[in-house]
Amino acid sequence: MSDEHLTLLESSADAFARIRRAQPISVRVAPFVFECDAWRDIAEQGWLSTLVPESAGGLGLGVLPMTVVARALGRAAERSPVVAVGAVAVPCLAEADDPVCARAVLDAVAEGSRVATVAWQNEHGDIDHLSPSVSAQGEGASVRLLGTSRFVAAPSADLFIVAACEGVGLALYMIPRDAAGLTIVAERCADGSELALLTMDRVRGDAGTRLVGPDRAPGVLRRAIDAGLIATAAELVGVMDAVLEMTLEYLRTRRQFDAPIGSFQALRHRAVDIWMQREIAAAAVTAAGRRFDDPNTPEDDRSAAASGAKSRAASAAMLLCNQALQLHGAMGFTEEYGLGLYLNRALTLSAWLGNAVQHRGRFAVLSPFPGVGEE
Amino acid sequence: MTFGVAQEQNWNALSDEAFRLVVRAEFETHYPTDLRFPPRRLFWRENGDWFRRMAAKGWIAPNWPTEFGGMGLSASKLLIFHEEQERGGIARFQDHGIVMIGPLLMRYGTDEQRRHFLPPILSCEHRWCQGYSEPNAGSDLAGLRTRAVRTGDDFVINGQKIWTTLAMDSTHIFVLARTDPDAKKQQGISFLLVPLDTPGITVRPIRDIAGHDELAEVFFDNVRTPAANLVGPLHGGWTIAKSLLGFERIMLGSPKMPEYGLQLLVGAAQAADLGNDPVFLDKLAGLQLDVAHLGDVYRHFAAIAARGEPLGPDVSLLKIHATETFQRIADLIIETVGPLGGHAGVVAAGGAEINVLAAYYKARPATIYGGSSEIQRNIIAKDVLNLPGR
Repeated sequence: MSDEHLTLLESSADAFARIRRAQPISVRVAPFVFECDAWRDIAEQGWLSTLVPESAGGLGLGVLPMTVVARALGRAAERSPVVAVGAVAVPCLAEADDPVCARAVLDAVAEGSRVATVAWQNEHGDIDHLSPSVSAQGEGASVRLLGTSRFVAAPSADLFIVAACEGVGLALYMIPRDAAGLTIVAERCADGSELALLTMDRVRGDAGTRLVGPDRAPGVLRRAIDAGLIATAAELVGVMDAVLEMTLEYLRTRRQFDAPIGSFQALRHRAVDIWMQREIAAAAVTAAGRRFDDPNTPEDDRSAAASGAKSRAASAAMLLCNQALQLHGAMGFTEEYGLGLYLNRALTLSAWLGNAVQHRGRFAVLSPFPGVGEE
Repeated sequence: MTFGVAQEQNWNALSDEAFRLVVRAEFETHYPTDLRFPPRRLFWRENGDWFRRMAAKGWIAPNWPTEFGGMGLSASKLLIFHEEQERGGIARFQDHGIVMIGPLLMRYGTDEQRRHFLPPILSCEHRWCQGYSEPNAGSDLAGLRTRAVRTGDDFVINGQKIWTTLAMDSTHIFVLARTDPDAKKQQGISFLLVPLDTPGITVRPIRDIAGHDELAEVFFDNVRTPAANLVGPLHGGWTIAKSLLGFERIMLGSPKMPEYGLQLLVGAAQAADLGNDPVFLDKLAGLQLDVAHLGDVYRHFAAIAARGEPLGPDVSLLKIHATETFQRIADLIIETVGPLGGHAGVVAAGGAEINVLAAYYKARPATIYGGSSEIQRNIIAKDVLNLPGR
């Protein structure tokens, strides 16, 4: 994808973000309710089919363009689950074992008429994609899914793509929200969005609902998670963009001791430090996106870059938001000022899909330094 | 006029991998083993043979275009060349001539200056050091007081420079001198080229806290340098000096030093039997990520420089992040080896020999020289973040 295309994509994403950002603070901090109108706008832009290959009717653009969109959405602290659906769920649908069968669902999700999300983490939130606490028991038409999955984005989704242990392997099942035996409990996050805790009590999963079988499911899921990690890291960079902009403006205009507080060296240097955090995180995200999109990148290098980017963005965003809060004084702690909604978004996104410490650990395993660590 | 020796081939026509193998073979075969990864800067008497070999081969100036006798490498090839130098632990010599004066004369110099100065840089006959800092002009460089007065066909220079790296190993110095004492401080400065064997110059080494003699003071007592050695316009030296700082910051911001530090850190951990310690491994992973992401930022700026576009003030980020990361690594080495943390030089530990403090002594001054971290932050605050002044 050319730089020119990326610039176009960025300006359309920015235009959407500006509209969302213009909403009253009270709306932006209220408990998030899935908005069909906004979702239709998002789907019409093609953002949900960015990662769908052209052969499957998508744009086939890759993760780097997705990061451009996600960063713009982060600048608005937009809570619509674009990354969860577009970067994590859609690639799983596009990789179905039977693409013809799955095509109708994929098209519906990409055009925004149905919402799909992936349930892969166990109740402890482990980031190993091979350790779901859902198991598929039985065979053929009588397979039943049993167990729980937590930290599932978009609890109001129509379809849950559930990762389940099947024998010694892993498979992905597509379960409609009204499936018998499925209980959905929504848990509220700091930013007013929700994550679901799914409980499956003998939910029927037959050949028709098995999206990807054990041969390919681990690779498909891992790739989708990596895309989600990089896109979420980009969203965090967008949050950093907005908070940095607010903070610099405050430092330029707020006066104490007869001078703008941004003229005091102690505060100037802290402003530089948080700017650096944003720059480093942005470079890490772009590099990870490029590595993901390069077909020659080995799987472990791709995952290491994705975890590295998520780890970086999560810790950088929290550091930046915490410093921004301090630099704003009491004003930043008010809901009305609007810093809080970004900080709350950063808290939510930093934890989702695994926090900075978890992904530093995954990076270390995937990218071991020669000579240390257990052989 | 042709400069230097002809290149064996058009390097950019090779694939990146093929080029890497050519470079690696040369470095692995011919670079002396005992000079790999030295704990301090080497003197010319130690690594002069190697660089004369590079000069004879036409490899002394990988960053220069072929028309001026360089290797004419593209951005990616130049990066590979440096990566292989770093991989082989090949020490730099006092290479300001290659890195700074050459590119500077190509951009601002006269044809006569290029004819006169570029060939001996390519042959290593001339080695350049930098005469910027003064006892009372460090962070406030523009406050420098070394004077140069036009007298006949010469400039007569009086004053003192300090913190001049490897001055005693150099043959020439480029000097920022005040030529108009009445102008605003940045506007009365000129950029002069001076042979160090000119009468009136005294070089005195300065011993540092690590016991090394890499730094020096340079005194100028009625030193005459030809007026033809003025680079750029009279009183226009500040702009030129600033254009070199971009080069310098990208060099000082390379991931090379911290990557080298990580290797030392892992060696220290093995010696201390902490190679499988989860607490250590978590800290190592954090630093590995710091270095990896420094590399991502570095490649971003290197690509800008390679396209020939000017580097903005945001490049200061690189220098700050590279040097502060290196310091964290050096500090962790000391922490990791516990009771050996105060041992000087090479010590035996866990069946290996390690130099615990080598990284530490390299890392500490790195946040001071080339514009301190505080000055870099001042630059970013003013010129990138547009924060108001006092």
